[in-house]
Parts: sequence; structure tokens; C-alpha cells
Amino acid sequence: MLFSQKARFNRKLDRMRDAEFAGTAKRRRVRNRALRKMMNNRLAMVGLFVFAAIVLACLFAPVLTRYNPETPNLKSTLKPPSLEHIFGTDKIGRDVFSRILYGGRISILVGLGGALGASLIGAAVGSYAGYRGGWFDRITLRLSELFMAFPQLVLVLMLVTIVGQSMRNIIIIFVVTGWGSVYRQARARMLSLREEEYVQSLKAFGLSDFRICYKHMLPNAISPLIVNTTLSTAMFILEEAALSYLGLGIPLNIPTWGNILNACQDMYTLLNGWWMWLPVGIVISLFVMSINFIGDGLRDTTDPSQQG
Amino acid sequence: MAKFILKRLLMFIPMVLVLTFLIFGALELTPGDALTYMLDSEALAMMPPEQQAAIRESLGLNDPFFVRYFKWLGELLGGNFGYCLASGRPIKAILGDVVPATLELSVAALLISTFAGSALGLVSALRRGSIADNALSVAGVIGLSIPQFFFGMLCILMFALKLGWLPVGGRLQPWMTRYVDHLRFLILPACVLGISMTAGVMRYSRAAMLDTMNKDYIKTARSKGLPEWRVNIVHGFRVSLTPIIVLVGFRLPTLIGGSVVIESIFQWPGVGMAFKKAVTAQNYPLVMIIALLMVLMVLIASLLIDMLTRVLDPRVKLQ
Repeated sequence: MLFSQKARFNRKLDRMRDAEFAGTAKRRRVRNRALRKMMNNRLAMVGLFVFAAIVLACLFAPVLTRYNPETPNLKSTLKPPSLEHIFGTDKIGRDVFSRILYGGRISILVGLGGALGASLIGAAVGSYAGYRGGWFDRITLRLSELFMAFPQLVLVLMLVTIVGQSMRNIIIIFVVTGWGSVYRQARARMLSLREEEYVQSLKAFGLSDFRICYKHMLPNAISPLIVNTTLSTAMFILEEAALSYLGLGIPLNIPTWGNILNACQDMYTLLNGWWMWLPVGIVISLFVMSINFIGDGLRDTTDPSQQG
Repeated sequence: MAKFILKRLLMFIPMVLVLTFLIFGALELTPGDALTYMLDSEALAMMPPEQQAAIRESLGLNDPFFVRYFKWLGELLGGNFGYCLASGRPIKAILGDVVPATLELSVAALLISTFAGSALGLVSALRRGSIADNALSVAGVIGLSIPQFFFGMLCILMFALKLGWLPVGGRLQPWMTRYVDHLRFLILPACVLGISMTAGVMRYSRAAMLDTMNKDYIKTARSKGLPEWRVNIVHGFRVSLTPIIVLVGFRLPTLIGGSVVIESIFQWPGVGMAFKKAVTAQNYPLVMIIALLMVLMVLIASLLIDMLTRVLDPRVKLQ
């Protein structure tokens, strides 16, 4: 088995060498290879499909359901799933299916917003700190250590008590608590990149530090950061759900995945109202799983050293 | 070695100072001060402003920020953590009640996740590329993706409500005299927490084991003609245990704080539950002190682990 793999690998190298000699090797082909690798990763493709399906369903919520997620209908409370209400209705007669779709919009927005914000700040600060070194590096490194010493949920809850609960605050808190890991990754990558010759030559040309750092070096460090962003999106969606489940996340009047589950904590609902919590839980799990598969797939395609 | 420890300690102290400073600053930012905590709002409204100012002055609330900070730090070092806003009890006494419960839960969960995780990681590394390995990898991602509380809800529904094997939640009941009764309450939360953590440990130990299997001394052991199980277990697994133990060491303090969700679902009266209640009730002193203690534990753990790895790994010592 090992032998055949090796033979296949050798043939591949031969083909590449031939192409190089013939002058037909192009940059585009390399990019295609990453794409092809991604396409060959079955789990990542399934993840991408599930991810797209859930995001599209949430975006086109008004087309898929005619119920408003927030209007109660006291004439039909606690109805089990039927043709009229696919996932039934909750305690005050709101359609659970439409709550899941509209709630998904908020949950995904919070998770994605938090992850993107954290990555932007982490990458911007981290790459400059790694490139420049000196006092800026020392201070930001200590700062990130400080933030990362807290257990994530504890820090988030602590900040929630100080600034209060709202959607905007939760996103800001996620950014504040999440930038550290991206910062460290970007910084570590830049530390090794800055020894490269092209950086030395750019410096010799007299380009400004900002230009070298962000325009010429950052693109070479970006792929692990993208993987990290995907994985932290998954983490933040789980965290939002947990926070809202505890009643400490997004205010309860806004439908989110966590808030839907928040209303199902009592044993009666758990035992007799499965439609109120089981579908949401499955949707959260599927969505987070799909992001994790995509993230793992991206890492395998972009970082050969992480395979195995 | 002594120099290393000293250097590490010197890094530790400013970190703790900055932390306590931040926590104190956060306490200052939260609304209300000692006077409004001590009196109820009605009495406060009736009290003339001059008298309020006099009390503030006598309590030292008008001192400069840094003076109050160092006073507070001194009290903290002397073991006075302040008082709970809701019950008026000293925070120290409250911690004394909740810490044992959390320790019990965390240690149980840690044992489950460490044993299950490293065993599964070992299997998956040894059978690399097999169906079992792939299945375990996928199961690992699924395990990382299911929200802890959702998993807890499913388990409560299954084992407590439908089958009736285990209690729904709680810890100590007044009628319980034997430890076995008590143990029944522990099983469900510990398993849920432990299983949900297993996926992470498994991924980690698989990577550690794969890393070890590529080392030269494994080839040497094999070429000596040792039986395969001996190579894998004694020569391979034992070495790859070191990073796993380091990971576990890091997990314990995080766990004590991180079990907020599990403790609330199972009504487990531990630190996490107390923290959640304090956050909900805006009980600022309790929130900040618990957070501070948790961070301190993480910092101390990382200090100890740094020293431990230094002792365990001779290559670090040589440099």
C-alpha cells in the first residue's frame, strides 16, 4: 500500500517536472490544485453543502415561512408538528420553524461578526507586532496572555455583567475575548517570515513598514488565519447558544438559537415538547459541524504539515 | 533550574498585579459603591447627603484610587474577599461551600475524558487510515460540534426522564447517608462533561502518538525484535503521555470555571452555578472574585506545568 502511494507520488512529480520543462506549468494550475484537493475532501464538501443550505434557508426565511417569529398566537399554543407548523408551536403559539430560521440569522451574524472582528484585529495587531518587534510586540504579547489566561466563558460572562446584554455588546465581547489566538498565530508566522530574503530586499528598496507588513507579508501568512477564523466562528456560535441558554446572552425578545432553547429548560417541555428544542439543537449541531468540517478541510488543503 | 524558576516567578508576579488591578478597576466601573451595598435603597434615599458623605469619608471611599486599590489588595492577601451582595455572607464562606462540589465534578469528568480520550487516540493513531480511525475522527468533530447543554438535555431526557435510572439533577439531599446515594447524582453530569471533553483529548493524543511513532527510538525498539504491543504501549504511548498530562493539567483550572453550563443544567451547586447566579443577579463582588480566583488558578497551573515540562524533558534543560 505504501509502495503504491509512493509510486503514484513519483509519477505525479514526473508529470510536474515534464510540464515545467515544456513550459506549460502555470500558476493557475497550482491554485487549482488546492481547489481540487478541497473538492476531493468529501467531508468538507458535505460540510459546505450543509452550511450553504442552512445559511440560504435563514436568508430566505420570508419565502420559506409565512409566520412572524415574534407574534404570539394564543389560540394555537404547544401544537405538535403538523403540515401547518412543520416544527409545531411554542408555549405562546409562535411557529418554531420560523423562529429557527429567523433566529439563525442573528446567531450566524453574531458568530460570524465576532469571528471576523476578532480575526481582523488579531491579524492587524499580530502581524505588525511580529514584524516590528520591540515595545509594541512586548506589550501586545502580555496583553494577549492576560486575555487568554481567563477561561473563555468566564471572561465573557464577566464582561457581560459590566457592559450589559445586547446583541452589539455580545459581538464586541466576542471580539475582545477572541482576538488573542489569531494575534498569536499571525505574530508567530510573521516572526519567521521577516527573516526571508524578499523582506530584506523590500526594506532595502525603502518601502514603508506598513506596506511591507500588510501588503507583502500578510498575504503569505493568511491561510492559517482563515482556517482559524472558520473554527472560531463555530466556537462563537456555540458560545452564543450557551450564553443565551443561560439567559445571559442576546436579550430574550430577539429570537436566536440559544434563546429558543432557553425557553425549554423545564422538565415538562423536555419530556412533552420535543419539537420545541430537538430541531433547534440538531440545527445548531449540524451547522457547527459543517463549519468544523470546512475548517479542517481548508487546513488540510492549505497546510501540508498539519496532515495526518 | 533555580534560575529558570526565579525567572518564571518574576514573570508571574507582574501578571498577577495587573490582573488584580483590572479586576479592581472593573469593580469600580460597576454601578454602586460600598454605601449603596450596605443600606437598602429606601434608607439611602432618606439619609441626608451630608451624612452619606460623612460615612463615605469614614469608610475611606474618598481616598485616591491607588490607595484604595492597595488597601483592597492587602485585604485580599489577608484572606478577606469581601461580601456577597445578595446574602451578605463573606465570599470566603460561599467559596468554601461551592468549591468542593466543583472539584468533585471536574476531577470525575477529567478522569473520564483523559482515559477515554487517550485510549481512543491511541487506537486511532495505531490504526491510522483505517475505518476505525476515520470513524473516530468524524465522531471527534461531531463531539466538538454538539453544544454541551444540548447533549446534557438529551441525556437528562434519556436516562433520567424516560428510563428513570438516574436523578435529574442536584447533589446532596438531606436524607442521604451513604456515599453510594450521592454517587448516583454525580454520574450523569460527570459523564456529560467528560464525554463532551473527550473529543478534544482524543484529537490531541492521536497527534501526540503519531508524532512519537515517527521517532527513531521506536524503529530501534522494533528492530530489537520487541513484540509490537510492547513497542506501541511501553515505548510509544508512555512517551506521548507527557503532552497529554500537560494538557490535562491545563484543563483542570479551566474546567473549574468552565463547567458553568453543565452545573446550571444539572443544578449542581458548584462554582459555575454560583458564578452564573452572581452574573444573573448582578452581584458584582462575587463575580469579580470568582473570576480572579479562576485566572489565578490558570496562571499557577501554567507556572507549575512550565516547571514540570522542564523537569520531564531533558532537551529543555540542556539549553
